[in-house]
Amino acid sequence: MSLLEVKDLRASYGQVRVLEGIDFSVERGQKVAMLGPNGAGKTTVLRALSGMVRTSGTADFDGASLLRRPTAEIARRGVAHVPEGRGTFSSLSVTENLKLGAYARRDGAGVRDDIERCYGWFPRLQERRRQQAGNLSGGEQQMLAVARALMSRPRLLLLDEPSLGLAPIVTRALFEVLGDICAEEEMTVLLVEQNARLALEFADHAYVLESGRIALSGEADRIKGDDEVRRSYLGY
Amino acid sequence: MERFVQVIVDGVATGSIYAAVALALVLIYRSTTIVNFAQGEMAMFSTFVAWGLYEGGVPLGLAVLTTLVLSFLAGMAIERGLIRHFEGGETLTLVIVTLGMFILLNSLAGWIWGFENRGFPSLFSDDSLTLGGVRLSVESLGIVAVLLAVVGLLFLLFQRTKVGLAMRAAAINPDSSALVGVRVGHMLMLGWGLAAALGALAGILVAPRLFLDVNLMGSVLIYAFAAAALGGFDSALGAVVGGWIIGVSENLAGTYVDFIGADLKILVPLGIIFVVLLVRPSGLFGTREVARA
Repeated sequence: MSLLEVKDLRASYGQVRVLEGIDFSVERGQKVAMLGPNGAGKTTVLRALSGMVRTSGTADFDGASLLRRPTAEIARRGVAHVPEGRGTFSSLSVTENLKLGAYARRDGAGVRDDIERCYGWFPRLQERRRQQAGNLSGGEQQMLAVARALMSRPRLLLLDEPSLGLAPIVTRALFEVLGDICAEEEMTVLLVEQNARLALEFADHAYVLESGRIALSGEADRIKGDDEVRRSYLGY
Repeated sequence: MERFVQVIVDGVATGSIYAAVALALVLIYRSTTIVNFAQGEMAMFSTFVAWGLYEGGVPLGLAVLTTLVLSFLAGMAIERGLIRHFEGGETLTLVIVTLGMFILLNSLAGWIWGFENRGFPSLFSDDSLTLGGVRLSVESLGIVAVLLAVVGLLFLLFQRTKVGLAMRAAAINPDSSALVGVRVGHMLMLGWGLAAALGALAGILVAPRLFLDVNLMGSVLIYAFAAAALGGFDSALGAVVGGWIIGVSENLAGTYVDFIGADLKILVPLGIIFVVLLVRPSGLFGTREVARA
């Protein structure tokens, strides 16, 4: 059975319908990319799963329904969401940001170990552990957002446009570390990304979203290899 | 010279009471960006509860403790039951809601306890100590000590505990807080509860110096606004320092500037609010929004 099984997911902001009923699933340990142009509804898929927009449909997560629950309760069930724009607690220190990631956990010693593990993955954060997070560079804040999400020991990691606003070289380094972490932790990931080339290298499986509908889906390698699909849907 | 020092110490004591109310204002403002105009009336109401318990035969210390706990619970209930419905709405709506609460609590207190003046017992003895020729009242020193203890506890709460960290996080970035599992609504309730208890403490400290009646906190609230504006509405340190500056300058002006005297002392905070808003609207310790994209 899939870890996440979504059926007929619809979402709207006021009168504007953004998702017109989409089906997709994420297997345990799988890395799934959600691709598509601006305004296709990619971010809304993640916001719907985290209870941040009004939705209908079903989203079955490890046997329990995710939809129509408060955001904090969804997070406590093991869904960690790295939001678009990184969601930094800017006037708190780097370490405090990481501690907040583990807010729902009760094992103090484990949390301290995990902070050190995060610093192992992202040495830049360790150098700046006492600084106000708002003073970090964009790339460092994105690392912090990922590390904060990992601090909850999530069963499902939602990543929203981690490449947004970052220099190509920074993005590449970030995805390299992400790949390592996922391999090490057998992490299950749902990634939303405009940079299709990068996302297809990272992911096992991909869905292409267009105007609130799934236009196509398949193995990441197959989509990458299909020139026609690449040109018409992904624009590279 | 001795007189001068006494005036300063009394000013710091009065200022500590303003600081407590200013801290309550800051607590609520930081988490919800609401300026709670009903803060003073909530404190007055709480003080009447303490008075009622005391008159009913409860020992003073126990009456005060009970009142603080009840105020904490009432503050949480007000956030959950009333303010929650308007959070994130228009600023003007919230101003009207808290002003409405101001009038409601004022009238309710009058209806329950009447409009006459009541004496309120002091928590401290009316002795005084003489230090180097300066006479300092135990009450003044006690008030300052209570404020410092409260500030210390708040510091420990916000800097050293998980709940405190979550409260700060919820104030900075509510969406992100919810995404890491912080129940933001609970944090706002907690903030209102703490503010209500802090206000109650201020009311209980100030009541023995004035008389307890429904307008007990009227001028105190204005001084507290001045303190918060001076210190910066989002700074706890600013509230305390602001409170002291207001208390001392009010006392100095009342004592040494002939035409001000006791009657025109209220001009001092109003003048300070005016100048701060003109020269440095974010206050001495307030943050001016600076962000790196």
